[in-house]
Amino acid sequence: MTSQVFTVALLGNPNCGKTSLFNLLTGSRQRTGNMAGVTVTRREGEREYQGVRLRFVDLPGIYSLSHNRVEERVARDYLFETPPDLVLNVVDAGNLSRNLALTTQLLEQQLPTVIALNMLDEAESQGIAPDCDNLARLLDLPVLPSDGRKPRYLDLLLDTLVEQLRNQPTAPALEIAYEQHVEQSVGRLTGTGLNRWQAVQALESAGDVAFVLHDHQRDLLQQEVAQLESYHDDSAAQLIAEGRYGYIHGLMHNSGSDHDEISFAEHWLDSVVLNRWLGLPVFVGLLWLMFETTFTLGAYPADWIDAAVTLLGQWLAAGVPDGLLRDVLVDGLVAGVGGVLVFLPNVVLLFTFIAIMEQSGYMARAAFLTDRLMSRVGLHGKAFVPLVMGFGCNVPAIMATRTIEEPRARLITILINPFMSCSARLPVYVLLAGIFFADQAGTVLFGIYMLGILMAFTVAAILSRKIPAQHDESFIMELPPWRWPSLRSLALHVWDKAGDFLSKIGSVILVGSLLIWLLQTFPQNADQSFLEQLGHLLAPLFAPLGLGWQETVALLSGFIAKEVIAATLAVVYQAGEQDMAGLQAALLAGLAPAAGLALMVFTLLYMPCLATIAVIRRETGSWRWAMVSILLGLVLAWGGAFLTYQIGSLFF
Amino acid sequence: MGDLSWLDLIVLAVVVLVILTWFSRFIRRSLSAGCDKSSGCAGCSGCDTPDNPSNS
Amino acid sequence: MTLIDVAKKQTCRILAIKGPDNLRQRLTALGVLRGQKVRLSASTLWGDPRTYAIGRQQICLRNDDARMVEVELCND
Repeated sequence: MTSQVFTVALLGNPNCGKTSLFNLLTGSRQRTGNMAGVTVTRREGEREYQGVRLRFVDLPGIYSLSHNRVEERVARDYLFETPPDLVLNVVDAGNLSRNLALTTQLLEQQLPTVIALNMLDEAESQGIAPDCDNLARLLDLPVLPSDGRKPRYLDLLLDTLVEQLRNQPTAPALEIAYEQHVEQSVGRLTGTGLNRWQAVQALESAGDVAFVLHDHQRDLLQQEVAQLESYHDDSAAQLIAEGRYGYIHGLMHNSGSDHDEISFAEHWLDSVVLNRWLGLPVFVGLLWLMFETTFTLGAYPADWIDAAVTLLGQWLAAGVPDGLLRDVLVDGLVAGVGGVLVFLPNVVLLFTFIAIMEQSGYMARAAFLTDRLMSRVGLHGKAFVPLVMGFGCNVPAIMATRTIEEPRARLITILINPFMSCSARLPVYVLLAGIFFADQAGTVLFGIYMLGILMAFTVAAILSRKIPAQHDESFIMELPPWRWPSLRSLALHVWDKAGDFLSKIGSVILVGSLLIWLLQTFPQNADQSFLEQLGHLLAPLFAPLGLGWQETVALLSGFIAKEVIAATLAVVYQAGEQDMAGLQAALLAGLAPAAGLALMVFTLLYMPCLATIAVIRRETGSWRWAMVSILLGLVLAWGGAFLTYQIGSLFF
Repeated sequence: MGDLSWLDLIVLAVVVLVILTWFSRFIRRSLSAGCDKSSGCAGCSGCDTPDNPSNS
Repeated sequence: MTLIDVAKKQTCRILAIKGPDNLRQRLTALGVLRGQKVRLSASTLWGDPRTYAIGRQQICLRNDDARMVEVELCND
């Protein structure tokens, strides 16, 4: 017997814990990883339960279905075009009325809905926990407690989902009594053949809807919107929202959990973190701490990996007979792949810190603190998330700029994204900083990232004066409440990122190491290998930066993917050496400290990798901007590295 | 290169073959529409994004 | 007075929300409505943007947008 497949869509406000719940429901069986809070695309995952296959779809966090923003359109169109079998509406128990406003839209649209009341423990500690049974009775819907962190309510939730899906209930449409003029408008609109919910949604969104509006309906709608605005000072959207909230307050009143006396939710942490004078210093201090810990704490597991790699190399050297096979294994694969693999702990740590910042709610606060700086240089507040994502990988980060609707702000965010140092560049910094600046490695790391940010802002400031703006997009953001990161989500997220890193090691770095080894080994019995010839050819360009032919070829290879830089350095310098210590000694002997710093600066700024260039072309729609990005990177990198080397030579 | 044994030649051929096939695939995929593991963003969030972002 | 005139520790009530449609729509979607109580909760170094506690949420607004929200002082 084939099991039935049902689709369940998760929908809820931003920061209601939807993604944690999704992770809990689907376990590791989901298709794409994502940064918390930026689910612009939808994710899917599956679970078998009681012989039923449940396909969960995680929709972006939204406040309303009738609101013309990218995330909201994605959710609205999905619900209209491919209605799921059931909507699991995740509701934050700590902010019930606003969350239920979205629920009323689902119910008006007659979508079969189950409510998962999330963050109950938080609401309980504030003494505002709603009563599930009461709420279920009043809304005539299953209302279940849920918790994205612990599986304690999971079985109950799944039982109810399966039961609801098997019974296929037809929910009666919710009818909220709106203000009388609104009702009259709705009446006239339904007269043209629209459903009630369609009329309400059309009024609320001023005609930006998923379903088709005919010309005469659109004309009527415009009249009605204008008329409502002239009767009242408020827009149709405001009048309808007041109706929704009125209905919800009525419900709450009936359920005995009256929310009339609103207590302001404030937290002691905010008085430090958002303090007018302390806010920014605390932010910068936290970033420094993050890089310092990434370096120092990451060094321990890195040593273990290094020891294992060294052992493997020795074992291969002893076991495989002399010849090319041994060379390719030991000097090519083990040196190259091992040379990057040792930095896995650093990458994992950095991602852990970023994930903690996001999940705890600090990232939104950082966006608030830096908003003024960002808007000064022509960046939109929404650029913050794509820029932070850039620390992971520029490719998804550039795709995430789709949330920015103003074209100029989006273009600038795309072009400066490569200056946000992606995790592929981290191995190079950690390697070089560890060799040349062992005592202040964390600070050097921090400085390099800061330089990237500074460069990004400078370029943004220049671009924003060159490219005309089209319109200003307002920036209104909710600061999520402080929360302990959920261990499960954290682990899943970091596991995902570590997996990305490992899969790149298994693909591009492995093949890149082979290529470098090949060019390094042939022609045999000649003065210079192909690699050395190539390096010497271009070395005059890099000589003013203090870099030799080895670094030149390493930087060239980094065009494929930036991790390959570290692999190439390992292969080129490690010839004959067996472990990291050998590589470090060889680099220390071959490069001046100022040149090491210049190499880091060059790696930070020079042209984006192949995948990033491709995505810039795709997202901007022309090769022109991709070329601009390449040239900009090369010029800035050369200039920056030159200055670094010349000035640095005076000090070290 | 007379000092290469037949085993060396096989190894060399395999290495060259791997590099050539992999890189041609890598470059093709990087420049084509989709993005996947080999083009440097394994499991990245944007990979399933519909191709027509709203430009309003 | 408007939202940007609200000082620390003052509690105000929203009288009206003006401004362009998308601003109103956005605020409405966030549950910022007439009659609600508001307090200033944080401000950056430059005094722009600021964060307001509105009900159970904290909302960050740029001053240009905050100017569109008319408020009155609450007596309590």
